[in-house]
Amino acid sequence: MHKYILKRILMMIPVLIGVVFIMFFISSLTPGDPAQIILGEGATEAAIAQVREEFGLDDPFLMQFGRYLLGIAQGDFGVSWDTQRPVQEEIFARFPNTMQLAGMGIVLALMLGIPLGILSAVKQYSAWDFGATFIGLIGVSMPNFWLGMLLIMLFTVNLGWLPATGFSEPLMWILPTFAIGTGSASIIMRMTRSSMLECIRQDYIRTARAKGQIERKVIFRHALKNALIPVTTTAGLSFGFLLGGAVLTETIFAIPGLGSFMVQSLQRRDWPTAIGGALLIAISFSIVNLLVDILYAILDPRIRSQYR
Amino acid sequence: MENAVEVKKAKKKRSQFFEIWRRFKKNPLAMVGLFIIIGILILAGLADFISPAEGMIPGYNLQKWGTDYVRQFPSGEHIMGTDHLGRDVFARIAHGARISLLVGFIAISIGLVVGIPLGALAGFYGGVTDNIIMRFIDIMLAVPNILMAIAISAALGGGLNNVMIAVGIGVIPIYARTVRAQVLAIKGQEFIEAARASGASDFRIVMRHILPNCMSPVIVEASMGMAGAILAAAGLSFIGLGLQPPVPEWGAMLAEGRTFMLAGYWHLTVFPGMMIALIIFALNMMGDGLRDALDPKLRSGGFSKKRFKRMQLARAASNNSGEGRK
Repeated sequence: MHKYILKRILMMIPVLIGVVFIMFFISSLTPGDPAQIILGEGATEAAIAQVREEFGLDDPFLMQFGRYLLGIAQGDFGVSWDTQRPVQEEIFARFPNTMQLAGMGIVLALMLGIPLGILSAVKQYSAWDFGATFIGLIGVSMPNFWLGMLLIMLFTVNLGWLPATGFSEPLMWILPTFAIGTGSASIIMRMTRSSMLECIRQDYIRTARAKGQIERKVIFRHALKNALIPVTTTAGLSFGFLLGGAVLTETIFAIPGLGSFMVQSLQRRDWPTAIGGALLIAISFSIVNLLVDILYAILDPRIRSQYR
Repeated sequence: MENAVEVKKAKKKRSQFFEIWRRFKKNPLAMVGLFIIIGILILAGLADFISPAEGMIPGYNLQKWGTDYVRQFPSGEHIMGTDHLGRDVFARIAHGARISLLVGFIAISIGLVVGIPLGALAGFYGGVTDNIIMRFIDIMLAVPNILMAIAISAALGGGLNNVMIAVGIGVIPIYARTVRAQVLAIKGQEFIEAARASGASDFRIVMRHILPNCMSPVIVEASMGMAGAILAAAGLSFIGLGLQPPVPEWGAMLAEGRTFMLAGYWHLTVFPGMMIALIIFALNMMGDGLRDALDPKLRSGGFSKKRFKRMQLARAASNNSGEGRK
């Protein structure tokens, strides 16, 4: 198991280098001179030449890429073209807000999705099932940025209960969490339902019932334990989806997070910041996926035995 | 003699299509999805007939009727109201339907054209080829889709073509992975061995024998992927990196409406968003229905009237026989 984890961590490295390479390549497609972006309009020829020298912009593509990788290895994400400050300061200051938002979103998604999924499966084809499935379908279809706007209109503009923007107080967390978590809640609900239905039909459930086990224990002890295994994967994937969704949700609710910051940087063509941010998100997504796989092995002995 | 064979062939093909259609139309939610899509297609087709001038030209109504025409709430005359430049929201939504459908369709086509060959190569040849392609796909999957699309369109600039490219590149991994999994499952089967024994080239085996057999999941993924593509394009326009106003793209309309949201002009945000949600809902439902119809083995557990009744009967029966269990 330790060997497996180590192998997975080592496998992350080429993927992350690849992410930096792709982002670097995309950034090289930007028309115009980066030095012009750094200095803004009306810069003199001499100043541009100096900046090109200072940032190493005249070097070949691969050399710039190599230098960037060396910097990353030493914890240096480069200098922002916009603010001229180190990128790591800017992105790490905003990263906790994004993680908190995505984390609260996934907790909400699990808290709503799993119970509703169980209910749906246990009372299959009942009004409960139909209602939950229908709400789930609507939840999946609503764009999170639109849902956020609707929530603001209802709870801020009309009712005046909750603040629409900011992230400094717990009261401000409620609307963004619902905006970002609803879609994943629906996906998790559907996954729980189908996985639960599969488990309920298994022979060992019939055996448990035949033994005279009470229904509550049959559902929660016997069926749910097994049904939740595929749900962990869905939750892990949803987390990546939420990190992406945070980009738009943070913009709506004016949350000072990494997502909205990256959008601002990209609008200003500040590529070092954007690449650093994308790398940070890719790292966190990879780590979450690894954790999910480890959790998977802990939950399911059959998988654990494969890793030895 | 030849004619007879052809007739028989045609009949066979038609019956397979009918069989799929027969299964598809039994799923009420899938049919609702299909009707919504047809409705939106009609809306897009008729866009030019729905008060074109009033919808598209800023200030048209201002000159005609004065500033009262700005940001009107929905009424009989303007069923979705008017926006901050006095344009009819419904007319703009109809024109936006064209853009969204086009973006979704082209983006998915890009994903299919690049993703299917990649997946087929990886699955068919395995080994080093597979490793290289799948590591590349892993890299693309490590960055959330929307972020990748934002970065690409920030580099290339906004505009319809670049949005389609940005979103299309982001969906490549879905198809590459789907096709690879299918190819892996099919390539070991006996009919592939038979084709090889009769001297077919690799290219022929993949094109004639393997790919046609992996189309069902690809079609399902394409339907659902189109929903994701439309959503991503709307998101791009919403943050100002996709299509810019005055283009009547739904995401861009939402961004414009957002400015007036706190002032209580709800119709500028509710209607464009509702259209995005509606088209995503419809495409997802159709995808679900197609999955069940194309491959009955992969039932997703959706609702169908007949099955509902059957299950109710089964439940009643099991409740009667299994008394005391609860």
